[in-house]
Amino acid sequence: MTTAPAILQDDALAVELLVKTYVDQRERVRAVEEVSFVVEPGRFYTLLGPSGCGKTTTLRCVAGLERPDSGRIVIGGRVVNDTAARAFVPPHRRDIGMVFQSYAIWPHMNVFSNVAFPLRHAHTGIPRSEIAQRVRESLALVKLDGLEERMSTSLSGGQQQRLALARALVRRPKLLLLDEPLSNLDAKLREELRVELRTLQRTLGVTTLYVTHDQVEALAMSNRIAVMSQGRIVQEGGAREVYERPNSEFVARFVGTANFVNGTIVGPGGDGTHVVETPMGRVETTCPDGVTAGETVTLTIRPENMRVHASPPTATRNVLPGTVAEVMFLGEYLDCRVTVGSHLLLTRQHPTTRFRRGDAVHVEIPPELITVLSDRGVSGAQAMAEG
Amino acid sequence: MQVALPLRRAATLALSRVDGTRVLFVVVLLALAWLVLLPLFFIVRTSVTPDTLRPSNELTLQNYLDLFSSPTTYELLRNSLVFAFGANLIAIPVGVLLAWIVERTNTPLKVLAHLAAYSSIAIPGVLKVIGWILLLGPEVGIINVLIRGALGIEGKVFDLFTMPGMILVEGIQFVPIVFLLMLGPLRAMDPNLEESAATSGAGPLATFLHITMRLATPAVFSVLILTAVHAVESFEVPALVGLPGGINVLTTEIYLTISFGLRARYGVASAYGVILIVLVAAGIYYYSVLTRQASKYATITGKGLRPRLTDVGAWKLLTTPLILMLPALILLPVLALLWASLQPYNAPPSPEALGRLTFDNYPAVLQNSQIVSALTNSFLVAGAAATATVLFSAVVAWLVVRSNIRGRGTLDFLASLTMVFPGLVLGIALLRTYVALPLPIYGTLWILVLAFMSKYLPYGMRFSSPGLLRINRELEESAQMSGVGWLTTFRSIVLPLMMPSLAAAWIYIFLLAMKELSVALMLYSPGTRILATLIFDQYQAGRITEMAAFGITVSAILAVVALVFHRLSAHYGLRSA
Repeated sequence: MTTAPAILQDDALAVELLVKTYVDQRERVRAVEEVSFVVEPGRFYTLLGPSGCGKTTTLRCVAGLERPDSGRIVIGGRVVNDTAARAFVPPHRRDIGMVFQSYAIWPHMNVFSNVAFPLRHAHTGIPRSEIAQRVRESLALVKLDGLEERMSTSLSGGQQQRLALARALVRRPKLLLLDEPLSNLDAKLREELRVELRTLQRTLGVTTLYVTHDQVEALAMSNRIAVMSQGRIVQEGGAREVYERPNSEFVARFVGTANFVNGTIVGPGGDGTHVVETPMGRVETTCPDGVTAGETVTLTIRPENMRVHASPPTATRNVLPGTVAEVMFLGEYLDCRVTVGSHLLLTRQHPTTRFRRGDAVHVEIPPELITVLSDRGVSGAQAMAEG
Repeated sequence: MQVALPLRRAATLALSRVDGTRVLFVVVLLALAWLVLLPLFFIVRTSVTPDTLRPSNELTLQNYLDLFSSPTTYELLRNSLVFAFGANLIAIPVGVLLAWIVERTNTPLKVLAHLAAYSSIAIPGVLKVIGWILLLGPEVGIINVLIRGALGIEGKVFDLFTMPGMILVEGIQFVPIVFLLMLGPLRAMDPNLEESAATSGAGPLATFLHITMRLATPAVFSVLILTAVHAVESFEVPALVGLPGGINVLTTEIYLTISFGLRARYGVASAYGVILIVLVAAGIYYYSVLTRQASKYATITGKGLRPRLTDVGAWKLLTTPLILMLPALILLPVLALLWASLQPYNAPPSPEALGRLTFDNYPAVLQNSQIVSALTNSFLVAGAAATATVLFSAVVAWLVVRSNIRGRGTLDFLASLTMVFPGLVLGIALLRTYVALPLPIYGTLWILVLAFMSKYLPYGMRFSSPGLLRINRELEESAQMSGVGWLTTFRSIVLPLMMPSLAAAWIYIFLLAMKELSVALMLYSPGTRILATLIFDQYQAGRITEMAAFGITVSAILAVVALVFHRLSAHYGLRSA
């Protein structure tokens, strides 16, 4: 049983030990298993994971669209779900705004009516005379002003996405929920809207819970990221922390690309490092505290953290001889695969470097850029969390 | 031989120059003209032919002038429209509400509504109407008798044989149809659209009124048009409920003009028929415009989320009985028929009648050669018509969907054109066609097969076209790339892949043909009776108990077929009424 973090009064959102199961063809599927996290006011918090990991279900529980089996959800100090106390606030009484993956723009209303709907029907206490003003403000935020009378179905994908955002923000909710809002857009537009969305969120200071399967989106936008797998949060931290110190093969694989090399501890090296025997040869690196000789570990090495040299470099540590197996020019970088010992390493080199298949090369792996996974934990995780 | 060889080579060369699909197109076009345009031509031709004793080739507009100058015509028109929209006033609200409860709430027992609606497809319309007459009839109707007994009053409590009575019975007939037609649109609605109303702060009632119902409006309206058209052209209720009460609508007037009086006045009947065709065509045209507009409402839908079911909570005390109304409406007339089938002569339930219960009617059914022959005829005709229609519509659909021949839209139009024919009018049209043509099929089962083909071609198209659209074109192209000709591709790739849709179409058309009354009424002869015409005749002749036993047996057989259809359409979707 995981212990839940203590809830502070001024947390914008706190989720405690959330559990949600479904019955699928007479089998009970556990979609969310004891998920707990806290989002501080004004922060951008992302649930990241592959499809079926439980991220959308978690978001829908926060929205109140799903009823959790157990757990507590607090939005802005108000308990909206507490199965122990049998408390459940229906979605329309929660102080939230939500953007759906399909945008869910009502096709029978024009742009203005779509945005005005929450003000008209949510008992916000806003006088009718002010609705038009508020709608215009909200549309101006997403740069859709002037399109009030257009039929919502005549908008382009990007415009529909902005419209959905304007509608979610018009009530000025305490919490903004975004369910993969950019995934239906083409790549260029997605990049543009990513920046716009983040800027807008920061300007308004609205606490945001974001769900995505796109690691680039998550890294670029979030204050904090929770990586989910099979209904659980497997790692939580800032973008750098999750990328540079993944605590499992799953996280390393899902967020970015990584090489995994199995090895055995030989003994201590210099500067508090250890020497690890691997199929590539001996490698020096920082290991989790308390490892002993003979223990097996997995080295995680990001492709961009290795340098491939045509002639032996001056560095003395972790320079391994190899043969270029495959070279692919990808414009922004060079995808260079090198056979080192009996292991094939994927590396990323600057696009100006030129190698050919069969070249004899030297691969340099800086010891501090290797993450070591062992049963005892992750190397460097402590330092990151403190820093 | 020496001469033959170059000749044969020349022939092969000539053939290879001819595009196979083009030949097919022409053949299909001619077949469609035969099935669709010929009857249309003959009904118009007959309507401008004077009803004189001696056959004449004179063309006249006298029939129309007579109709439009007679006040009766306007009364018939008014009756038809009051009847059609009255029936919808009952069927639409009830059917839409039930569909919403079943599709979008977590009300218990909703599977019963599905089952009931599908099994209602199995029961011939003429039989259902007779069942309701047995229940509600003014003299010996079971409910009238029971109320009379309970209140201790004499005379009839209410009279079924009135316009409100007709509207009630017809409205009840349409409830399962509206229900089934509304399930699809309600299911296809993106649940996010309602959820985003909830996250916008709108409560369940506001969401239902401003989002769900508003989004369903185009669908409701098009269903309304469709059922109104069906009611205008319907024959069973007007004939069995209206005529005894002296209430006449367009269809019954046509029937009377032909079947009663000194001689069949085909000219007048056809003129009425043309008026009816124009009415129906206008409705269907409006319907197609509406459904095309409805596609405007289609939105980008996300991944298939679990459909959100509204939690009815304590309201289930209301919604569950509402749902049970559907099975009740189907079962009541069947129970009335069952009761009648167990009596030596028709009498409402009473202690004495209970003592007379007997199974004698059932063995009698099998010994009656008329019944056995009608049953055989129905199976033959329905089987042949379903098979021919499905295969033909598959070919037509292929030409429309896949070929790039100019004029393929014409095929689609022609194949849907018979929708404008009310059954009775199509019957008259085919009668006139085959009396005039030197093709000796009048009085045989063949004329019924051809009539049913014309009538059900639009239904075949509604299954075939979407069935074909679902199949990736490249599956066919890769067969062509393997060096296989059109016919082999069609037979070994297209047909097998379309099989689920075609099987559903076959069963649906088979069921419709087994129950068909009005088309056959004008075309059958003593040797070619089919199920519905026999039931109709027996009821008219007052042989109610035997007819009931026969009807119950037939419905049981058809219910099994309908169940198979339910299974199939659960997978491949019911697209038509």
